Amino acid sequence: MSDLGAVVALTKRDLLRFTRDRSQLLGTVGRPAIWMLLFGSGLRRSVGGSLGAGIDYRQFTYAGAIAMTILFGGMFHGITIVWDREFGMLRSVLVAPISRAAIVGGKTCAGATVTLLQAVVAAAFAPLVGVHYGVGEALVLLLAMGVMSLGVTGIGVALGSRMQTFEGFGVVSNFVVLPLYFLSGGVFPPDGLPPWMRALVVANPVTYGVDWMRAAIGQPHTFDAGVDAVATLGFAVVGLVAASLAFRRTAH
Amino acid sequence: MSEVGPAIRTEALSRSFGTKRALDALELTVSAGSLFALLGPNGAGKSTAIQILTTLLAPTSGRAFVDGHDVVTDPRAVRRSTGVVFQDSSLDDRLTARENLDLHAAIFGVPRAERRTRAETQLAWIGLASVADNLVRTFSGGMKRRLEIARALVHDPSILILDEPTVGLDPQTRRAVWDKLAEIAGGTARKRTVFVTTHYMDEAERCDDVVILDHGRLLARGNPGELCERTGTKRLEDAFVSLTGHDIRDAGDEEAGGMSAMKSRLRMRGRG
Repeated sequence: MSDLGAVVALTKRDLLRFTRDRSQLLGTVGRPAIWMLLFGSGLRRSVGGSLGAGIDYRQFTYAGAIAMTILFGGMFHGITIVWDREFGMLRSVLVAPISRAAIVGGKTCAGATVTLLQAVVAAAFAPLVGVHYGVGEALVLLLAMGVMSLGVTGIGVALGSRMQTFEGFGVVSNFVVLPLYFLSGGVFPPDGLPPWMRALVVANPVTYGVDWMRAAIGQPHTFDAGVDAVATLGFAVVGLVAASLAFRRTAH
Repeated sequence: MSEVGPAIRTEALSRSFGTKRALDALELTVSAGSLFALLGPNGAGKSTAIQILTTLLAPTSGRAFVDGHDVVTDPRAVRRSTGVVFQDSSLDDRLTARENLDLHAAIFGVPRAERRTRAETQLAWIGLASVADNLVRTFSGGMKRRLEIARALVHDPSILILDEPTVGLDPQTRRAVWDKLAEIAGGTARKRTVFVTTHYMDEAERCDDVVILDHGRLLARGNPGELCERTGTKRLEDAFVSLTGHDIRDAGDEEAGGMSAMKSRLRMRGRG
């Protein structure tokens, strides 16, 4: 019972910190703007022909840009653990009469909330890149983004629990984020890739999140939406388990 | 848990890091309601003892009881009974003083309805009511330390554990902190035990009981007067030299300064 209260309190704390940080708020809007408008519009001409009829590159990479936002947002929430440890705040939480699971729960819950918020801002760019869908589709998209946010934040929290320095976290998280993004089918279509690369795309959990989002808004997609949903849910569970295992090991 | 039992008791408490024995068969008894100091130079094992008593570190062997609860088998009960003030600040400096207390109260299971009053009471008592809604990052070192003491009391613990609470503070703030600690231990309404580690002799002299620790071993125990009497000295400082064979300053005092300098550098970088 006190554990649930602690999860709520720790989540509230991280959300307060996020809303007070202007640069993070700016990044929330700026990052999707860069990926959707600059990247998407820039590549639109060059790859226009190869995507098949009825969809241009901006529309194709829409789901990918949301995935990118989720990857960065969720992963980087893990850095707040490095921060809390470095500046001592974590100790005051570790001596509280709550379980380690409650601490991880609060961290992941806050991170996933912030990440989902960023994803929603990214998704709101839809009309600007020629993507249109209704309320029902938007709700399924929201669900897909939420589940993905949980999984990615879990991985971020796991990483933050194991890393000792900000620098280390930055380097390692980029090594995780960029391949997950580039091999998600969100940047280039999986068809026509060399077999080894295609195997990596199929093995990448983010692929199913991107595919699920596409299915949700009625875009062409590779897998069955049910397969996407199950795979993404599985990824979220793996993320949460990884977070709690890694944190248990770090907690002195 | 018994009413008359000691607040803290350890039995042959030991902790090794590799081949180094940080604590060596420590036997401690801290009576309830006393102001108790664990005195020793840096590296004597004080912080190791604190980490074990606050359930952050498991002993290699031996046992420790806080408020009658075993630190290994019943850490949650130990944590409920104790308030902890660490050597380095553990506040969230992006939150206000009040938000820090509220967070602490929530994770220590204080009912929602009581949190606000508890925070108000503590802030007023420690003299920070006027800055309750300011961000902690704007606070001076002394204000942060006072806020940490207030925070440690929000869940009404029966034992307050402080690790070198006055390191890096100016003389006036040190005195103010100690006046508050004496007030906590000597409180008429609520008797609490205050357990402090220190390497300042003048601070240890204000305590009811002192244990002198060096190289992880207990060298002497008693009240400051007894220790002086036993060693035929006038001041605790001389008693310490006579017991340990060296001056407390020999062990050096450089890491505290180096640590805070490093943190402020990191803080600058973290802002970008």
